[in-house]
Amino acid sequence: MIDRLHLKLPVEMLRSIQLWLTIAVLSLAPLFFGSVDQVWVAIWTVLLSAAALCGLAEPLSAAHVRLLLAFLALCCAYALVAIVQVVPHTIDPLNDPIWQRAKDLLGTDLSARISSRAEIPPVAIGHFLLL
Amino acid sequence: MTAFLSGFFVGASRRNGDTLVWFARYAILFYAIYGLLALALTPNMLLWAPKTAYLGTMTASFVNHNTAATFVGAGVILWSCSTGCRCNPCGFRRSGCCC
Repeated sequence: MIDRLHLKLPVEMLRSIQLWLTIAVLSLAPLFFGSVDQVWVAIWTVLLSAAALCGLAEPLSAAHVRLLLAFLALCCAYALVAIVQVVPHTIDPLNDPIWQRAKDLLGTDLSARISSRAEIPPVAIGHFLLL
Repeated sequence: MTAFLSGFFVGASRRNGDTLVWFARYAILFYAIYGLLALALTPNMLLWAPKTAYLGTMTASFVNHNTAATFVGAGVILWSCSTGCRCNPCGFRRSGCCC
């Protein structure tokens, strides 16, 4: 009985921390001009990551696990599409013609890719992780 | 991703989920009231900074009025669910809205 109580207390505490961290972020995120600055995106991402990690302390039901896996699979699909677009020479027929033009004009060897950007902007990664 | 996961883990417990929704409702109401007051009293200011865009429209603490509208709209949905819950608890419970 006492052992069970000892085991339950940290779980309850973590659940409480998770709840109040989520409430704090939910209530304060709109305050600073909608938190569009990178520093606020980083702060809220760190706090929500901590809250999500606290949520892992409690065992989930099978239905919850299925839902969670479906969501993570969807996130992986989005990440895969983003990576395929920025990695050079993944699907050559789909490469953006801007790379060939830049190569012709500058005379340098540029790696062509589907995206017109060479890399994923950090702010886009931040928004993806936050939302 | 982290916002969804945090909300998901909070929502796994009915009591915590209700607490989160309660805070969300009142936080959005607070921002909406602030937005209306700011529009009426300090229409050229956005919090402590001068407002340069979307003058004459309610933006609350956001820069963009579309974001403010989405935020307040989410609050309207939450308040409607809560009011509907009180008026017709069985119907809302059956449709899975709240309660």
